Amino acid sequence: MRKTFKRGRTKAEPMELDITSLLDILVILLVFLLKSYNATNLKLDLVEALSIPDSKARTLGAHAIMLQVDKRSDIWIEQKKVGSAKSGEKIDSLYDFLKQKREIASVDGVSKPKSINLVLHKTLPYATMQRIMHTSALAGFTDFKFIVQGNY
Amino acid sequence: MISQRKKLNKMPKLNLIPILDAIFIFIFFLLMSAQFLEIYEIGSDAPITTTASQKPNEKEPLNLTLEIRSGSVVVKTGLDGNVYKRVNTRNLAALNEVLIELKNKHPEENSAILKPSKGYEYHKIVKIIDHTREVLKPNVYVTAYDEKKRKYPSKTLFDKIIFETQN
Repeated sequence: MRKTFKRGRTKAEPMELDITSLLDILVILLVFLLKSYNATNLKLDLVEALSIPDSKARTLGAHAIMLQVDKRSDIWIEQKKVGSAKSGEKIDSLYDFLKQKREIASVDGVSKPKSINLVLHKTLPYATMQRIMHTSALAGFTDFKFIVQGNY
Repeated sequence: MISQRKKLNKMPKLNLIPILDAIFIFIFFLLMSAQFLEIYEIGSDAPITTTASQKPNEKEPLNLTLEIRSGSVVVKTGLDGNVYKRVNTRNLAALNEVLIELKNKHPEENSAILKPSKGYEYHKIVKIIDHTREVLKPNVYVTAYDEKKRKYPSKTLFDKIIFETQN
């Protein structure tokens, strides 16, 4: 007797992907990002040769003019070198720049800003800090905000 | 019979696609707004001098001044600048304790004047500010008063920092 084999057409079932491990990774990523989420509107783009000190402060920063002073005492505003804070009581180049910035802000119809974010290199001496604060205050920025790094 | 049992044993599948979509959008949003350097601010005002006459029966202001030298912090109080205590800069916990003591005596005061020496480094000043602004010991609180003069426990010491220059 001749055997006949009927080739039965089996329905191809859709392939099932195991996405459990993918979900695990996503959840870990989500938790990590949520933990490191900071609600501040302050964006910090540090210049070279500058590291900020650690602090236990927990007040979130706000947007204001950002003045950076690196370890060579060079002054930077918006990634542009404005002058040096090595000597003198008042830094003329910084004073002129800040005065101009303040005038521009007031021309727009907004009241003149008073806050300034100071991003200073951690080993700078107080004399340099003092020169910066003195010049800023003379230009009308009397509300200093020292930007520091969180430290738990 | 068997096929019915098979049907019963099969678990219903959850449709995870919308959840995955939402998670992906959330992750993109968080990645775009992420800033991995945690930055905070310490506020300080430029000193403003005003002339005000002291009313009779009014309590003399604390006028807390911290004179920071290379090895020590001198805590001064009063308008005459009387030395209250000297603290070694290596032991800033002691400074915190002195300030807790002063805050308990003067709960209405919230400002401290810092007078660092010219060569004192910024990160060391920040450390002193940290010990001046709040109680760092766990489970230790100071008494504070709200607007209606009601007492409440607080961790805040002298959070208004003013810089002054040593002569």
